[in-house]
This record gives sequence, C-alpha cells and structure tokens, in this order.
Amino acid sequence: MIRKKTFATPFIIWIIAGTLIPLLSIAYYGFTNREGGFTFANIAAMFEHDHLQALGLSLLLALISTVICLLLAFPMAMILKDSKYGKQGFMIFVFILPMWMNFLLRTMAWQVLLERQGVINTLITAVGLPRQELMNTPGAIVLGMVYDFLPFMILPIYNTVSKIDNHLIEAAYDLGASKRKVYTSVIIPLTVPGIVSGITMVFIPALTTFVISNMLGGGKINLIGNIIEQEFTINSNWYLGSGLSLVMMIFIIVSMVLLQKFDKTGGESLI
Amino acid sequence: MNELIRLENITKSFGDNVVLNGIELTVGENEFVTLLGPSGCGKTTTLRIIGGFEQPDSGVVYFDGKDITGLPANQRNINTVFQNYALFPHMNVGENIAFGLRVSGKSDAYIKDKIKYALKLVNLKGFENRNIDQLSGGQQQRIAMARAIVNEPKVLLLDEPLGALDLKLRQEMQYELVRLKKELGITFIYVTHDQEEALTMSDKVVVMNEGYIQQEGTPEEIYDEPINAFVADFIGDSNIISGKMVDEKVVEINGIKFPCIDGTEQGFPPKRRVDVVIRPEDIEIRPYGKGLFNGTIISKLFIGVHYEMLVQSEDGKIEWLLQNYDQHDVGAKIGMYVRPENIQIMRKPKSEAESAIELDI
Repeated sequence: MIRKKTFATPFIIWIIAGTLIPLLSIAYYGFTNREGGFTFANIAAMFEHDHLQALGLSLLLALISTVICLLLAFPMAMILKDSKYGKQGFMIFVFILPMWMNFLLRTMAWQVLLERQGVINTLITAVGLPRQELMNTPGAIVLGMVYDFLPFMILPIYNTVSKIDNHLIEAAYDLGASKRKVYTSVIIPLTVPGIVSGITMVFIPALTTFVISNMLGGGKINLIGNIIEQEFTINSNWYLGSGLSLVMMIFIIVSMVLLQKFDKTGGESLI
Repeated sequence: MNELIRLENITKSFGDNVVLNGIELTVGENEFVTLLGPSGCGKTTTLRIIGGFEQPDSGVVYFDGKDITGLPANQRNINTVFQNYALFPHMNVGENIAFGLRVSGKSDAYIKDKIKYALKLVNLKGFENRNIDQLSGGQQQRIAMARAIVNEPKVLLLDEPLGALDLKLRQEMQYELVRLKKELGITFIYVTHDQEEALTMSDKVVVMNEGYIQQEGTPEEIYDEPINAFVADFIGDSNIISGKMVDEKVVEINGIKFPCIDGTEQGFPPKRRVDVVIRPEDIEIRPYGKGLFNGTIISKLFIGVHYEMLVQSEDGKIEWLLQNYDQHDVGAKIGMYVRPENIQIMRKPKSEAESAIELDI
C-alpha cells in the first residue's frame, strides 16, 4: 500500500508544481489590478474592440485550419488503412517525421519559402508571373497552422480508422449499401472518436498560437495569442494577460465539452 | 431441384499461395450446403467469392443462370452472416436490422413490421432498442441472422456462425438454423470446420482440402462412403489401414482376410493395393478367438455415451480404434468382427503430390 503511494509522489509534485500553482497564479493575477485590489476589468477587457477583433480572427483562422486538416487527414487515413504490402508503416513514418523536427524550424522554413525574395516568388517570377505578396497574410498563417498541426489530425483519425473491423464495412456492402452510404453510415460514425480528438489537438493549439502568427504574420496580424503574449512580455501587464488567458480557457473548455457531446451521440449528427 | 448457384472452374491465389484450384460446385434452390474442411482449405474464400467480397482469378460464378462474377457485393441478392457477426456497434438492434431495408428505401412502416417479424423469427421479441454490447454471443448471432434475412435474400451465406459459441448453445443453434431454413425456404451455404455441424444440418456436404473439393454428397454418403483417406479421417473417427485385394471381394489387412462388398466392378480387382476405412463403431467385439481377428485392449476411455478403446493386434503391428457401449478392461484379450458392408475400400493415392493433398491434415 505504501509502495503505491510512493510511486505516485513524483506525479503529485508534478501536478502541483506544473499545473495547479501556475493555474492558481493565473487566476490570482486575472482578478487583480496593479494596486493589488480585486477587479473584473482584466476579464471585461476581452470585449474591447481590438481584443474582440483578434479573438474573432483567431477563431476564424483556427476553424479554417482545422477544417483543412480534417479534409486532408480523413482521406489520408483511409488510404493508409487500405494500403498493403507493408507500406503502411513507412507512410505513417513519412507523416510523423516532421513532428520530430523543431516546431520553430519548421515554421521558419515557410518564411524562407514565402518571402518576397523567397523560393516560391523566385519560381513564379521565373515563369514571367508577377511577384506575389505571400508572407504576412492570413493565408500564410493558415498554411503554417495546417503544416504544423496536420500530423496531430492524421494520427488519431488513422488510429481509429485502422481499428474498424473490415467485416463491418463488408457487412454494409453485403446489405446493399453504396460506397457513399458505407462511408456516411458506418465508417465516419465509427471514426468520430478519432475525429474529435484530432479536432481538439488541432483547433486548440491553432486558437492559442502566437509563434506561427508572429513568424508568418510578421507582427502585422494580431491573433489573441499575440495579444496575450505582448501583455506578458512587452507591456509587462501580467494582470491583463492573465485575465485574457482565463477567458481563452473558457473558450477551450466550452469547445471541448461540445466536441465530447458529438462523441457520445455516435456522430450521427455530424453528417 | 433447380440450380441456383454454379461455380465454374474457380481459381484464386493470394500472392504465391494458391487457395482455390478449379472449384466446380452447384448449389440447388432451397438446399442447405455445407463447405467443410480444415482451416486454409479454401472454404471461406469460396464463400467470399459467392458473396462478392473476393474476385476469382479465373472462372465464372452463375446465379440464377446469370454470370455475376463481376457484380459487387451490394448488388447481389445474397446476404451474409459473418463469423464475428459484424453488427454495427454504433447502432442498436433495431437499427442494425433496418440497415439493409433503409438502404433499399423501404417505408418506415414496412421496416417496423419487418424488424418485429425478424426478431420474432429469431426468438428475440422486444429487443429493438437494446444496444449491441448488451447482447450475449448467442443473441448477437441471432441478430446477425435477423439483419441478413429481413432483406429476403435468395441465398444466405454463413461463415462459421457458431464458432464463437459454447458447445450447448452451438447445439441449440444448430436446430434453430435448420428450423429457420425451413421457415424461410431459402438456400443456405454454410462454412464450418466442425464435421458434426456439417453432418447434422446439411442436405449436402462439400469436403474441401488445400483448395480442392475432395468429395460432395449427402451427410450419409460422406460418412459411410468416404472417397479417400482425407475425407474418412476428417469426417468422424476412423481406422485407415493399407490393405491388398487378395480375391474377388476379399481384402487382406495385416495378413487377415476380410470379406467385403467391393470388387472388380467397383474398381478394386484382386492384387490391387488399397486403403481400407473401418469406422470404430463398426468393429464388433466377440469372445476371444470367435471373431475374424484378435487383439488386446491397451487403453479405455469413457467419452459420454460409449467407451472408446484402443486394441493392439496380436502381432503388435496395428492399433485398432473401437467404440462400444460395453466396456472391457485394459489387458483383456478379445475377438473382433467387421461386417462386409462396413468395410470401405478406397483407392490409394496415385502420386506423392496427390497423397500430399489427401493426407495432409
């Protein structure tokens, strides 16, 4: 009995030091003003025009990236499921490989590609087309998000899809279902748990990112993540930064709860 | 009987592995046909080709006189009960049964009636709203049946549907299946490796091994007149011994002459070397010296209804397997007798290759 508890100690310390204390201090700063008094002002600040605009843009870009990731990952997972001759392991390896590289390096690579004098513009002008403004656009940020987060969508979906018993798919065909019906009534509903965790793993980091928008948005496009980051770093206003973070946390919790609902209803409503 | 399905010279390989070697099979309307064989004999592949889940490398599948070889599974008037039932886990019992009917665009009222009818047929009245994971294996099996038969297929394919059930339930389900088949009046093609299942339920048994059909016939024909040593060995227990025809309708086994009913007419002229099959229950026990041959009981086992005994011949060269209602002690010397009609003479395999096919069990 004592032994079990001993093994748990590192985790308890980890949770207290790594999760509980930071969370409590965020909550403390979030409800405190510079003078140390209690206030809701840091929370209400989310409704200021600039902040709302950033939040709206964040939601929009995160949503677009998540949808693109989903549209890319699902067919990919189906192809991986059906591919034979031991290719499977290799293909998955290819998709996971970028995850082993540093996230900052990967994003930086896109800078080199998208710049005014970058690789893509060099190619475009070489064939006589006008130079394109690729960097510092919402498009560039979406591209970066999709590129960075796609493996997090593919993996959970592939995991669920590969566990679907092929006999279920055969049974659906056997009962006269068309290919489309097999997908909408059997494969997709059974993949919902994977889709839900994929969405969670892409949407939430995309919603809160500031690195991608910093590097590919050139500081011109402010997402809510950038605003929070600036409050902590440039403005040294931990109070406002924490307040905005708390609001974001609520957004994340609400979106997770909504996603869990889909999971439980078996996903019929998703279609 | 009208022909419903005909397989013509079906071959199929997976990579280098030849699974089916020119299968020729005819299934009649309203027939209960069982494909029987050890694992890897090609029985499931044959079933999957009939169901449309697998394409043969060559050969033709006829259904109702039409070539359906290239027709996909969802366009065949055939339904399947899968080995693991393959019930949709995200749907309840009613939704599972309704699946095929929904796909074909039947009205809600019709579907509701059909679900009721099907559940009654499989003795699971009122199970519409149960979840699949609330059902026992036997219940899932029945729902899988119900889901298949509501579509009113002409043929029902069953891939070892009783394999996962315990012995008692399996025996119950055998009666159920025969009853269902009678009520529905459709063709059943059943795949199993269990010879008892095959003999109990089928109108016709097709014994397969290594991608070849070894023998097809009624259960009685298969049991009483196995065509070769493989069939004899696979169907029930048997003594398979080599022998030699020594006279017209007399076979010599281990120096003892046995009168039998096969002779030149049946293709076994004198001096021909043959395989002899004698079922264990066909060896009658006589007092010592009063039978055709003698032996000593070397082991005895009570296996339910009867005793199973191993009897060693007096020269020690052969062990006979006997089944008898009477028990005799180990060490007892007995005489034995076999009626001529119970001695089954079989052709010896001609070549090594052929013997590999027939004896590799």
